[in-house]
Amino acid sequence: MILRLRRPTRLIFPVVVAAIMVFLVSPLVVLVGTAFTTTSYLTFPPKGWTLSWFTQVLQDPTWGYAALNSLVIAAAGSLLASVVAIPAAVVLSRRGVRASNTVTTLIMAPIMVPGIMFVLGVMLSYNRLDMAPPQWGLVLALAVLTTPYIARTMIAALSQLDPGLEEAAMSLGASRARAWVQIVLPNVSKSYFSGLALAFILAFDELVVPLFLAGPSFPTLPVRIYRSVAFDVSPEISAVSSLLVVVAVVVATFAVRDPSTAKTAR
Amino acid sequence: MASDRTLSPETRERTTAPALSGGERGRSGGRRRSRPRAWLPLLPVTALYLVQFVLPLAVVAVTAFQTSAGPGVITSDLTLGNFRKVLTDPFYLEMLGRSFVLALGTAVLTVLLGYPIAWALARGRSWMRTVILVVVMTPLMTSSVVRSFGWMVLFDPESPILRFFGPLADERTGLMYTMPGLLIAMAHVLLPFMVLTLYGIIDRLDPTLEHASLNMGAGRVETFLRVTFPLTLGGVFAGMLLVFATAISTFVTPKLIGGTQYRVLATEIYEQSVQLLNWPLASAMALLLLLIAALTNFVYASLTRRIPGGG
Repeated sequence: MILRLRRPTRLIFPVVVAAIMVFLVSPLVVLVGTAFTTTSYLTFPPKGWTLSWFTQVLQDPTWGYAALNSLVIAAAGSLLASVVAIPAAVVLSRRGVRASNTVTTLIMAPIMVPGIMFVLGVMLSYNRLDMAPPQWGLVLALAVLTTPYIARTMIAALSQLDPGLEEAAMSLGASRARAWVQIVLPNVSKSYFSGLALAFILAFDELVVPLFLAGPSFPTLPVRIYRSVAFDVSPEISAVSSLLVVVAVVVATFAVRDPSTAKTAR
Repeated sequence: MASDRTLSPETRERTTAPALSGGERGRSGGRRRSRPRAWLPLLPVTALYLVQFVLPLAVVAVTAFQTSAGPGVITSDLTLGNFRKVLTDPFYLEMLGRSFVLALGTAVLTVLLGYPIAWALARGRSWMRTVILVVVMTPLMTSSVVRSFGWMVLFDPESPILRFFGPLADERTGLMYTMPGLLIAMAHVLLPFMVLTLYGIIDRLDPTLEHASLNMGAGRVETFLRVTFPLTLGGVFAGMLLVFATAISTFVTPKLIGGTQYRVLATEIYEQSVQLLNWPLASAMALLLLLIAALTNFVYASLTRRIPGGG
């Protein structure tokens, strides 16, 4: 570079970036910090050092129950989303379908529509049918909310795939089905799993859907945390939250290796 | 695929995608199957969306024009009264105004905080990119309940960070239940969206334009202000619209950080539908929210279509 910056100005940009990164991680770091306090109230920096809040959480069956509920509905929801999104992505990415842009936009609609309106509608629909929202109702709602993410990942992955691969397999005698199972799908499986991971995380973290649709007998983890945060705060919640933060860091690190996730998440 | 490994070739591929699919259309056109069978794989998603997405939205749209006869009771008398109430009653007008201010403020704040990060992400060394991406993606993968809870701890009147925010904080509650606190937490929740949008556009800038400006004697700051920044303005607007549309329908953060003082559209919809059981009024507000979000998304879509690389 011919033009060099004077010393002080050269430091401004890295310092600003570092400060914003601190801003991004600070609430998460603080949560993890408060989980180790020996006091019965939340305080940062923590006073003393103990793991008792973690053992308390792991031994409390109500936390386990809530976590299990969240796992089950998030898994079922994101798998159902895959079942409907993948065939659609195949049509929208590979064949000469006219109006595929319009259809893609329609499939993305659940991202555009405010979540709270959608969930209100689902709740009112069950109301009109004079029934309490069933547990599979949660799964259906989560499937709708996560379908766009899986569809988007799969459309991107499939349309980047060389169509010659499938043609080569078929010209060597494979049926279309066999070409798909043995050639095309293995090539997009990495993208699929990153899309699925994102969908699962979103479904697992979703608060508004179970808040409107699930009764008190079926708490999910975010709802359980939400109710505790709103009514009785204790380091126990920090311990639960820290465990979730650790999961998030692992998933984020994993996701960064596949750039399509960054894009899919908007 | 080899190109999946690094960021830039992948994003570049995206810009060439329309040309590729156009070519593919021509090639596969010859062996296209009959129309109905080609559309068959869209059946599952159509069925799910019709029953579980279109129908619920239609129910909200109908309910918004019906009359509430006490908690949880709806009569089918059609009325515009719910909308009249939301759009004329000072309580609801103030709530609407607050929702707008909060969403707009969040959008502005995320630009200010997101631009440097996106710049570092696009121009930094590869280890730095990885660090930044993990830092940006981690909040995205964490439940917003958890993130808001973190801010609640930080905003406590006895929290050490309040020394930096002294004048903004309230004596009794710290930054809890204050507009500055709410803005900070909202910006944190939505910053990843802004960073990823801006990154997309900064990464695709032609570096020769900057080199030309530098060669012709402009300083770095002048080059940024007169060449680079104007070129990314489309991305800035796109990101702001995206954040605005998301912010105005956010529920958790305003509910936990804003409390009862700072009611916004989403928390009021929850209040009316789950607590007070005034479903027609809740539906009317939800319909208004949809209208705002749809308008924002429409502008976003037409903007990103016009500028290459937006979104």
